[in-house]
Amino acid sequence: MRSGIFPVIREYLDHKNTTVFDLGPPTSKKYNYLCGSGAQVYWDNTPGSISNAFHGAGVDDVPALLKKWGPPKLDGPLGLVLAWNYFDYLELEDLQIWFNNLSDSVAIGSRIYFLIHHSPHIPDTAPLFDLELDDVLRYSTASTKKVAPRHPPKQLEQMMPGFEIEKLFLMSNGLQEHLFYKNH
Amino acid sequence: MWKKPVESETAGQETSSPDPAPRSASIPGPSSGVAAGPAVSTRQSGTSIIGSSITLRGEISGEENLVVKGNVEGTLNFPNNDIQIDPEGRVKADLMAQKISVAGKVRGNLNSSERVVIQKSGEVEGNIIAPRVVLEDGCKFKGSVEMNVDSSDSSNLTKLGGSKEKAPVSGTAPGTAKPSANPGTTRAAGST
Repeated sequence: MRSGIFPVIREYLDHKNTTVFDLGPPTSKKYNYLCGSGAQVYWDNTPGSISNAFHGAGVDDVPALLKKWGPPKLDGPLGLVLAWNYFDYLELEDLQIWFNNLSDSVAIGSRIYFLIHHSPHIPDTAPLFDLELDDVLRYSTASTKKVAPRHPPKQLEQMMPGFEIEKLFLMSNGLQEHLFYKNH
Repeated sequence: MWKKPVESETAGQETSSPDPAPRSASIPGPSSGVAAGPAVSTRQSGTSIIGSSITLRGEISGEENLVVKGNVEGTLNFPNNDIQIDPEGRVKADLMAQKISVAGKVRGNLNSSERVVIQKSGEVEGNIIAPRVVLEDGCKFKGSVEMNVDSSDSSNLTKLGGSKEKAPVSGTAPGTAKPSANPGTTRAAGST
């Protein structure tokens, strides 16, 4: 599916030496896309990490993991966080934990990109997203399904202190892209 | 793409080819150590091998390719050659080379003038600077990745942990949308 938001993100990356924190696993395509735009990308998919937890790699207690987990300690703030559709797999109270952990690592101007399924059901483990140079999103599919929480954007906005919605884009498959912007 | 040198192991000390050439890996005496094992390294066809039963500590540099099957702690400095970490290799070191391929475990920074490949069995904890990076499905990686200058010239290798230039923006499609003029506003696009 062609992203409606990554062209905007690309423009953002092209104009700044941005640090990107990708919660998903590292891939060569994402590296080419993001680093080709001049960004520095941080990944963590070691055992016990967030991305492995969301992909069902043996982490039973996600809230406990979220409490322990923190974003990377870097010299400057994160410019962009790519959360893919992991919020579909978190309860709102877990999201609150996630954003509290993140708050010290972002600054005014930072962005968070994520996807929310608006179809009734979602795969029971998070799909793996990849990103082509022409802004096409590719993702894995799973046969087993669970009920989608369908978090409304405004409710998510309330979970993210200082962030507000910058852009939404609903794709034809029911996945809605979100770009949130930190304005204070 | 990697040479497959024949590994032969000799007890007790580093071995060398019958006609030792100056293009050999250098392991400074005071900072290197051999923990155990029958051989330190073997080289053939311009490739040095650190055998699976070997542990080395210190700065290792050289003018030929290096294959690590054992344990290394320190620094691997091969700016004009390639480093390959085999699946059984365990490295706690900063690596500098033209091409770096990791199938084992590395804890340290990787600085390459051409390409870094983390194979699916590879695990890296550290930062990567390279003009090209290949991350195979299933690899484990914790750290940051940044393109360095486009360089086939190893003189462009940056000092590990030092400053580096951003890669020129090339090979990417031009942006098709302007950034939000008013980032604070809500805009929706696409079908609803």
